Amino acid sequence: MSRILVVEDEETLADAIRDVLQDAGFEVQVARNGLEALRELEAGTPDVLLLDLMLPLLDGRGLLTRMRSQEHLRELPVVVMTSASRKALADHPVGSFLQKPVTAVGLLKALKAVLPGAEGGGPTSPDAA
Amino acid sequence: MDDLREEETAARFKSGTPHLDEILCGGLLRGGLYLIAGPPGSGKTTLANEMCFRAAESDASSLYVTLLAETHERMLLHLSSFRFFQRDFVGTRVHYVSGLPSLREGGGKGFVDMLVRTVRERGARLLIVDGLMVLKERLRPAEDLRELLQALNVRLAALDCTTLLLNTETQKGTGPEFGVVDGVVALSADLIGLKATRGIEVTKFRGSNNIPGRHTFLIDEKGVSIYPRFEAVMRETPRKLADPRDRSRWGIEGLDAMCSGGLVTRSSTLIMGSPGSGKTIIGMSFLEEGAKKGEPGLYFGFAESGAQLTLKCQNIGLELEPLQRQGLLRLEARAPVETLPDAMAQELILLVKEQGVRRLVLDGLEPFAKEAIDPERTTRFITALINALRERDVTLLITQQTNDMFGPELHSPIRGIDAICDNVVFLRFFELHGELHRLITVLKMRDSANDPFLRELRITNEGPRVGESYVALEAMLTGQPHARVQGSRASTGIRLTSGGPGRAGEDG
Repeated sequence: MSRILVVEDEETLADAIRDVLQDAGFEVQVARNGLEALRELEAGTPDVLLLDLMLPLLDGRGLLTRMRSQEHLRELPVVVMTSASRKALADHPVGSFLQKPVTAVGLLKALKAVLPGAEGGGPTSPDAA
Repeated sequence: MDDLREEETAARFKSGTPHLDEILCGGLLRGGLYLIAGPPGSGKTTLANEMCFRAAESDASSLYVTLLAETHERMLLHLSSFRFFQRDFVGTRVHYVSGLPSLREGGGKGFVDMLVRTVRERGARLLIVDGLMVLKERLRPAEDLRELLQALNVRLAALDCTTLLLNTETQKGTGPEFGVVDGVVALSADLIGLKATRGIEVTKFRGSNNIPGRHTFLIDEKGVSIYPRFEAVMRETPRKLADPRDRSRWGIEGLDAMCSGGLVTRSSTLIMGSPGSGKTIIGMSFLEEGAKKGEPGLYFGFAESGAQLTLKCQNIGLELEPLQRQGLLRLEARAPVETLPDAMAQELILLVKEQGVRRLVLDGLEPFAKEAIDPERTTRFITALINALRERDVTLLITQQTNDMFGPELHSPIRGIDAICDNVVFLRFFELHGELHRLITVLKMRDSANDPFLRELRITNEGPRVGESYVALEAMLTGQPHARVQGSRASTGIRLTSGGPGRAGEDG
């Protein structure tokens, strides 16, 4: 079962994403800001990081910068989901970019793109999600 | 308003919202803590977001922290229809974060710590906290809102970050926040009759002057447009004099003679008359005469479009089209519904400034006067408008429709307007031998002699003409003249009243 770390400060949105991903068979953890995400990443590396950019304390770009400086996190697949402009990611190449508002279809498609052949452990069809 | 002095321009945070900084005499004090209070739907969120995007245009970063249920995506969706919204700024210079997790986990103290750390991390110069009510509701028992806000104020002032707290509570004194903050901007949304109006008022502003009282504002695709109360901004007595030696001719045979050579330049003239009596026509003649001499003219009216007016004037020998082409005459028409007087006055002053207008015909006062939020403002408003125009070297004609075609009373719907204006010209139909005629008379000219007679006004193919006086008739102003009895004292037979039926005025 693939493990996804969702970094999202808006609780209702984080809950909705957790529901979608759990229904699709993923194991989900949620962090509310960049610093909390760093702590989670130090505790264990997920298969994918699903990252909002605008976060309290340490934002998504700051988190990406810190990850790139750590060997074991450098190649971690990252899907960015944000209301921000794509320009906000100019210096941070990522696996996939989702413009909010995200849909279940878009979310699962983006995850599939960075996790080819990954087993969600459950239904991966967007419709099923 | 170009006359407004900005005080203490240093150390101000410019809102970037048109005219808000004027009300604030230059802007918010940098590093200050302010409350934007208003009921739901009053425009707090739009105003705060616009300030963020305006700051972003100047390369400043803003942090918008929500404590509300609405997601950022939904908020941004609503904002995307405004012209100030620029997607490229989202996440680069305008950052949206939720404050709920830190508030839930760390209480008020944790929330304030999060704000300060995030402001530092983003280098934000403006912080918005949207949902002060939620913060108040979720404070821990031992926490004190006043202490938290004071701590926030001190810590963010040190970071040169100006903070706005958005709150739905509007009653001053109901919460400790009103005492702690450096200023309170109260927004309101009211219905006056069936007309919806929005109001903005600075009810507290430490360390600065401001333009007091309630001002109107609009929210449209441009964002928030604030219209300071015209008379509150234009408070100064005009320095420019209306010199009786300097005349602006009507360009109407006979009428200039009645006015001792024309209107005094920079004076204001009220032309009263019933519908169809010729008010607009003599106004257009006045503009044509000035434009032909190189004095730019502006018609600002509410009944006819510029094209209609041009055609109408062409039919009576007034050629306006070439003058418009040369940029010497501009005809502006506005729909007389749901108007905001302060907005129109602001527009008018801008047009006068841009076009270098020297002659202005304001064709109808009702949209200015009757749409005023407070009817008691009307006299002050019009006085301020007249003064502002005189200060800009404008000779002004205002037309005012009278309701009665005939009768012994001349009722002006706007109280005191005849006293405010320097000159009053009156037009009326009268019936003679089964035929309708127009008459014209100059009821009043300040600082100038004028012809006391009643004369016939004819609209000819070659423009308006003023003819002979009617010495053999009396009580003509009533519209129902009769032959003068030999030896009787001449009388117009009219009573001038204004401001409401039944109010006694002066004898004509």
